[in-house]
Amino acid sequence: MILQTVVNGIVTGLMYVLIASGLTLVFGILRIVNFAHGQFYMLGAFVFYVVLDLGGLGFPIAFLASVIAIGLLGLATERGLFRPLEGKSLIGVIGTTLGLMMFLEGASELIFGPGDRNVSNVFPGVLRMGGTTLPVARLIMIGISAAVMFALYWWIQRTKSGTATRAVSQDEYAASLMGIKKTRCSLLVMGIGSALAGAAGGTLGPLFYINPYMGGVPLIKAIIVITLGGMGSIFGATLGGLILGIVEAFAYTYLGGIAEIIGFLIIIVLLIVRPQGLFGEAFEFGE
Amino acid sequence: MKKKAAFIACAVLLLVMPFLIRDDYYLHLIILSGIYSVLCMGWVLILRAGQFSLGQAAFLAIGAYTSTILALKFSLSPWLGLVAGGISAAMVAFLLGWIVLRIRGLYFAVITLAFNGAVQLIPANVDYLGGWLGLSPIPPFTLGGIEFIDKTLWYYLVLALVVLCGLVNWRIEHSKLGRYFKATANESLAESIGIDTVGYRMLAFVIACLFAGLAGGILAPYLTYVSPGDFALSKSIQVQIQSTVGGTGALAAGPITGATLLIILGEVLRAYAKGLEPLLYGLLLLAVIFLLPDGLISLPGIIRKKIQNKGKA
Amino acid sequence: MAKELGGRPVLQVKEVSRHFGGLTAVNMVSLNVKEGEILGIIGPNGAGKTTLFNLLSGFLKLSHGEIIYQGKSINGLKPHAIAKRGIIRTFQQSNVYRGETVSANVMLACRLQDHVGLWGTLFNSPRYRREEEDKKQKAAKIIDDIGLRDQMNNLAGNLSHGQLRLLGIAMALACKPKLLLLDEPVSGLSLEEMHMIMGRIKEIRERGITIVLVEHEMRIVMSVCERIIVLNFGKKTAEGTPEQIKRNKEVIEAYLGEEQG
Repeated sequence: MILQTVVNGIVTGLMYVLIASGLTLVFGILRIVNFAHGQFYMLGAFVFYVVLDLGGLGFPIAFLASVIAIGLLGLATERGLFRPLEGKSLIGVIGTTLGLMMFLEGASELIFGPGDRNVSNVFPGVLRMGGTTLPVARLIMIGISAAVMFALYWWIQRTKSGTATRAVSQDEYAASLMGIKKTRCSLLVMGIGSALAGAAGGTLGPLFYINPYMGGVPLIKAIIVITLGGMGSIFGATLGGLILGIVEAFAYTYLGGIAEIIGFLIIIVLLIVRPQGLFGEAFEFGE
Repeated sequence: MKKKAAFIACAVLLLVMPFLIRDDYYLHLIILSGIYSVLCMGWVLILRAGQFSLGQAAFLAIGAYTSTILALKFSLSPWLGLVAGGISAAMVAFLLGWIVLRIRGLYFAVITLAFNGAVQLIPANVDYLGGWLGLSPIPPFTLGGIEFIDKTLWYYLVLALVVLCGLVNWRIEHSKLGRYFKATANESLAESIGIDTVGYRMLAFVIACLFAGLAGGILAPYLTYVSPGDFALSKSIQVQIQSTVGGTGALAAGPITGATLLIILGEVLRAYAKGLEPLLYGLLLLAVIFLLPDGLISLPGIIRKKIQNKGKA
Repeated sequence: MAKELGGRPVLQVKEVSRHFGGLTAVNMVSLNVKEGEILGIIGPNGAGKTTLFNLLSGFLKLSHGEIIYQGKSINGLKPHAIAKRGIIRTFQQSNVYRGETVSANVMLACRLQDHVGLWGTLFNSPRYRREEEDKKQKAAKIIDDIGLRDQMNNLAGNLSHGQLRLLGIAMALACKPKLLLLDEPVSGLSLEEMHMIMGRIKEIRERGITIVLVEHEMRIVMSVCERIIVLNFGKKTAEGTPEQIKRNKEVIEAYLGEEQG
């Protein structure tokens, strides 16, 4: 029982990591919490569904479609919403993503209807090991999550654009002296962060049923993860997601429904006591 | 002179409204607008003191559940429940504020968001508080032997609360208190001239949550039930959107305008398709942020200026 | 003539230090401020002068040491509480409410003179209205005295640099300070504006207010301050009259690269 709980916890945790990765990246570099991130995830799932089930084009194309479509959505958002409001009031920054969140959820309901849809399971079957069971689809999800996190980490640490992005987030002026433009980094980061949300939607959506409202909970989970792990730290987000997954798995097993409150308490306590999370770097939101 | 006449006309209109609008459905919408107006007036007050709250629905819940528990389990009059609801919401706000009001900006917003989520889960998972299904039926107010069944009576009760909160907000705006709230935006300057920034933020927060608690104490008996689903995070976001769309520059007029407009519009749109309401909220918020940052109440002023400029040209 | 009060210290700074991680910005600084004097604090950039001001006015917590004002410790007090006790500081580069008028700014600074509380304010009591009218007149007088009368209803954002400094000082005066901490009051100003500001500062001292100022402009410091304290790398390296400091070898060395001619 305990082993199964741990396995469930790790699986759930990796889901959270995947969902939170995009949000963490965007926040770490742009200092914006994209409250519409959950809707990006939801739309990723829907794009996947449309391409796979309605278009019949197979898993790889469907997955790619969700990544690219939402990546483009992110670019449009950065250009159209974030750029004009750069540095303006808090209402502008928070309000914009809240407005986008509502807009996308409403639009999605109008287009797809309020009902649940089942996405066909491309990876049927169940793995049994040492007394625990694990659906193959989830194993694939673990694989994709791990691959994505590695790719993200590699990009930000080893590539030119990733290093440039880190430079801009730490010291915009110094970076500009070296010819690194913040606007290009912002665009790139928003694109990648959103693409990650799309990837999460394409990967996780099929594990459950999908509907236009499925973005709400993932957003909260993502916020919890980045609070735990440190806003802006990819390593922290990975660890934070796993911790949350395992803690929740045990809490649900032994406490039942009230376990959901733990996530919220984590946010509150951490932001009071250690706002930089376990691994991130603190900074001030001056006004 | 013109302003006074308009003001008196509005007041008269508000007083006779239930006799002009005989349809229960529309009266219901107006009553709901009133409840949301009160929530929005609180939100705007917190904003004036420099904080961004995403948790007002939590205090609505505290007011609603307090008054409901007192009525159902302790047989107390809803009038006492109303007062108790306001006071308990204010007390919780004080305790929470004590810990978190020194935190600014986005972090504070996220904390209030998490607080909202947590508060919603408490009655949902406690049988005594009704679980997810909630508690009902809740006895209505009675005054002079008359039970509040007719929507007209509810209308006047809500109107009284809206007027009370509106007066408080209006007074604050035009007094030194409002100026001190605004001054906290430059924290170091304010502190250097002796303004207790955290103290004033606390005052704004407590007053705003008192408003929300009172609103909850009326909402619960009005709906005759209380359930956790009514106090979700989306409600707090709606409050923020209504306030911003209405206009955050005027502490009374802006929120009331925004809440009323969006409740009524939202209801109308929902009759056509459920997805239209969040779509409307999202679009209007984005439109206001980009095109009309001071909200709808700034529209008359802008139009007047344009006409004046056209006249000069 | 300035009050000569037997040099009783109005402020005692005892072994005050402030660390930021590995960096020590202020290192065991001790000094006394005598009542009624004009004390200057000089030192190269990064010497810890503004950090010291932030410590004295409560904007930063002490890592070590004690600050005693009028015989009582003010360690750990919040800035507004310290302001209430009579220590008022200004900021480098003038910190004012640019969206408000000059008059509104100074009226805000009269906050410490408020007696009417929440209820009087909410109910617009006669006491409240009288106090507001009082504050308005007091503010007008301060603005007049400082020389900004014709800018009274102008938005602070429209003022010139020199006028902004005057406004900052006016706001500080509205707080009825006993000890005034001026952070670089004349930096970035023209010669004419500088002399005007220093004239005002001398007038303020005539009223019995003790003044501590941080400045880079040597001519100003030497001509106006009665005593000077020199900071370098967070430590106090010299203390004395302007004459003594001028002849101090270490000070001359430290300033060789900083001379403004």
